[in-house]
Amino acid sequence: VSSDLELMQGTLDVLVLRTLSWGSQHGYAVARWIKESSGETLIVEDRALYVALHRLEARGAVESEWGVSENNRKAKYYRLTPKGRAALRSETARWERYATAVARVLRTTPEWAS
Amino acid sequence: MISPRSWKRLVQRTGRHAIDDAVAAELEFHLRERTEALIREGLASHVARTQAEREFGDVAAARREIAALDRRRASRHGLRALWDAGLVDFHLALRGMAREPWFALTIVLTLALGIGANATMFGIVDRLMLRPPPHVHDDDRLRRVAFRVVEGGQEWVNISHSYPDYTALRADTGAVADVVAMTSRSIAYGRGERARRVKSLATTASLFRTVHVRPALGRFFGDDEDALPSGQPVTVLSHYFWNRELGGDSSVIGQSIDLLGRKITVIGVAPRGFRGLGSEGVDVFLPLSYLASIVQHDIWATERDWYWLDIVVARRRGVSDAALLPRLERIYRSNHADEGDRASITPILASVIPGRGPESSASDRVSVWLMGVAMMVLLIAVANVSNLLLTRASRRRRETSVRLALGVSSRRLAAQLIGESVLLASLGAVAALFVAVLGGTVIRALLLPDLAPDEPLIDRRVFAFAALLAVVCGVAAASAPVLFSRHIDLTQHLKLGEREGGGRRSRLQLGILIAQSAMALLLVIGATLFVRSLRNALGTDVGYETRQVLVATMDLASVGYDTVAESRFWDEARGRVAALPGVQSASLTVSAPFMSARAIGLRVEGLDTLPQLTDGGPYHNSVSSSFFETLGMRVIAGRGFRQSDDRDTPLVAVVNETLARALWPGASALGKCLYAGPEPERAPCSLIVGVVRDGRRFSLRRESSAQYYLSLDQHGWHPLGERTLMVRTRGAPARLAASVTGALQTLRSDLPYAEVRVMQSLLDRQIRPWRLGATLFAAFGGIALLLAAVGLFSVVSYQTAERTREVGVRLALGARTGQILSSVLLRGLASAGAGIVIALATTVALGRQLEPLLYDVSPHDVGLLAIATLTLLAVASVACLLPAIRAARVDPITALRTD
Repeated sequence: VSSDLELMQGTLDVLVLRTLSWGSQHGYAVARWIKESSGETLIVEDRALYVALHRLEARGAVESEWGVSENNRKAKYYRLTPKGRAALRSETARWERYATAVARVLRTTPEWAS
Repeated sequence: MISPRSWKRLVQRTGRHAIDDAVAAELEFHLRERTEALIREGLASHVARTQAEREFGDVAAARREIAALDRRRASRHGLRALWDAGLVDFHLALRGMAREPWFALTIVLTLALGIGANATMFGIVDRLMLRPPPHVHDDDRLRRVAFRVVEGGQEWVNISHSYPDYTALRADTGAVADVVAMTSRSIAYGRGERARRVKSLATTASLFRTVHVRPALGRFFGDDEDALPSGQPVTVLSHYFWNRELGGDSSVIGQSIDLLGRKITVIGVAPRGFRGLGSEGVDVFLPLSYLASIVQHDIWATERDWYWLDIVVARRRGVSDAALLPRLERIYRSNHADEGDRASITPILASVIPGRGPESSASDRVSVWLMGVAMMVLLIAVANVSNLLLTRASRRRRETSVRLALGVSSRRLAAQLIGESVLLASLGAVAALFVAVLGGTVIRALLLPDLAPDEPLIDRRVFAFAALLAVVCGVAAASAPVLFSRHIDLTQHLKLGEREGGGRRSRLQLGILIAQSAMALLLVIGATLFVRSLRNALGTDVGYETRQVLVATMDLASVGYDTVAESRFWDEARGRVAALPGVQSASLTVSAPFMSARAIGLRVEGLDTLPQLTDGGPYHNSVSSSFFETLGMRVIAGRGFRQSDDRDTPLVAVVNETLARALWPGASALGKCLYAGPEPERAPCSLIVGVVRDGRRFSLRRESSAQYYLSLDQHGWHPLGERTLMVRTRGAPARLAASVTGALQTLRSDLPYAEVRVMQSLLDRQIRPWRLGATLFAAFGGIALLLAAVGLFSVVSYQTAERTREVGVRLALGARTGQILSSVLLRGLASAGAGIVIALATTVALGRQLEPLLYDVSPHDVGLLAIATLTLLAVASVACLLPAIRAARVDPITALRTD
């Protein structure tokens, strides 16, 4: 199980950063958005999401502040720091390269198989 | 300082609980939002919460994991904040210093003097008492052997031993300890005109393996080269000597150098700084048996009553001192049976660190006192700085109130004050190192000339000590103003004028001032006591005119002269030196005062036994004509020796007062007969023709030893060839020293160096404790006075400035300037007065401790105490007078207009 989580980690980080790139959000909203925008395909355990948020904060990619939610509750809001914005850019690029490469391998038929 | 309460707050804010609570709140928000959403989707409320938690994962584990992440981040963040705050404080401190450069300079100089005095003394005390000699690492295993002897109500410590003591000890303790025997001796390096004196350490080969030292070059000598009867002519050079004399040339190994008038092979060079187990420098190491076979009488290895060796034992692993002591006692008793019967003898195993052994000198003890004195100087300096900071804190209290009101925490303010103070103290410590290097150089040259020359007094340990002092002083000096600023009442100070208030501060300041003047007076008292001691010591009438006489010696035995050749040489040398321009008279003596004393068999006409004499003796000396004139000894009855007393005239003798009084109380000694010689029964009569005044034998302190003199010219012989040439000069003797040295060393081609000294300098070592005490007490006392005066001046100035309005009112109401003047003056002097009372009480209480270190001075000498007290009062008056005059000149109108 732990190796699954580790595999997830980098991916989850990019998703979180991406979510926060539209503005400051609390953890619950981030979780919802990831779930909904992926068409419920990506099932992220909430626990992992919060760990990712706090780890990103420790790394200085996001910063947090207590605020008040839409229904008037005390909530912790996260937003990207410049460092986080830069991380998002480079991670996104890396992901696209990775995805393209994987896709190319999957679509190409080798000569010895044809 | 940060109080426990504020610590707790600090911990709470960033601590465990705060983080746990925040994490719990964040997760709870999520769960509640999710639960409500699930309910909106149609789940029953009790199922919804469970569902939300299931989706979340393990909530408790998540809390723990996230809190751990946050705590790690918080602690990193905390350190970062601390560092940032430190940088800000540093900038603030620098800005503050730039704004008030005089203020900063005063503090830095004050601390430079205080820390410098301590660094200097630490360097000395560390050298004398704390640190083993270089390359001696496990000094705890090494013990110097000594014996405490109590005989006939007198007690002394024997630190020198005979060679048979060494061999017996080695034979008996070989299994449990290594034994080293050594002696140091000045020997000749080179010959004839260029001959010079170098310091040799003659030692058994066991020294090197005992301290586990490795040679820098070549090898050390071994047991076979130190074997009886006469060892091998080999030498190990000290690193310092090798560099100084041979330019550090490594091809010197295997070559020979000219020592003791002989060719001696260099087999090795000791590592840098190695000087055996003593505190004095060593030039060359020689096998003990080799040196002894040359310079000692040929019975040196068997004679039990020649005490000339230092013995050190190195216990083997697991052996205690207690195991060695009984062996020592047994050996000593069997080797010295006659003494053992009469006396009680206790063996001592002492530290090899020079100042801690049983022979620790008065200089060592004075040094310890001086370390205490230096500490007092530092206390005064810190008190001064504290006072200055306090004054400024008081000046700035409106600024401080504003900052507090703006929300700067008082903890930050305290940290700033401490930081600034430590910064100033560090600058002070840097300046102090210059003071210490300078002071160390001066002290070493003037007061401790025997210390090994290649070892700096100011080294890494002193640096570390100064750094430590800087931090301690910085924190200590800041504590008073911190204490003060904690009690600033915001509203009161914002409302009040700049010049009001400060009652707490003035109580603190008054206490500091009183302590300062008490300590300053104590040091001034110490200085007067030691200066008086030194004056007494220098002015002591030892019975000779020591400042008019040169003393010349040459170690002829070491270059192979026998007794006859030696005495022939000296007769010739006397004639040559007496003919030098500027020389008034020259005389030979077998024993010279402060250098040696001898006794031989004596029989006195009309007496069966000699009376018991308190200072020993009677001592014998053989001197040539004009001896008494040369030394300026007054003949009080009869006559001294004349040139006409020669081999053809009847034998004559001269006695001193003490002997005359002891042998013939109430009667004249003139005309009586002395029979002196190895066999007094067969000795011829020497007729007493004169009585001379007593002169000291060894000690500067009062001693009256019975002494008689025979004429060297009449006997023409003496069992010993050794002579000392005493030379009386017309002008200052030091100016003739070089020409006397030249005349002696050029008389033959094979001579060793001649040592020519002013007779007074023979007393230097005895006078040194008082010279050391007087010089440093005076220096420290002066610094203390200066610092105390600066402290008093700054506080009184500030107080009078604070009272400008009050003074203005009084002047406006018709007070005369005289009244203002005296009121300021009295207020300032009151603190000095309280300090004086404390200091005098302390002197009365502690004086007895100091008394053994003084010379003919009572620590309760009323005259000296009065002088010291008046000095302090005078300095304090000057310090108060300047601000008092300024206060009296206040213009009432201006004063009343200030805020």
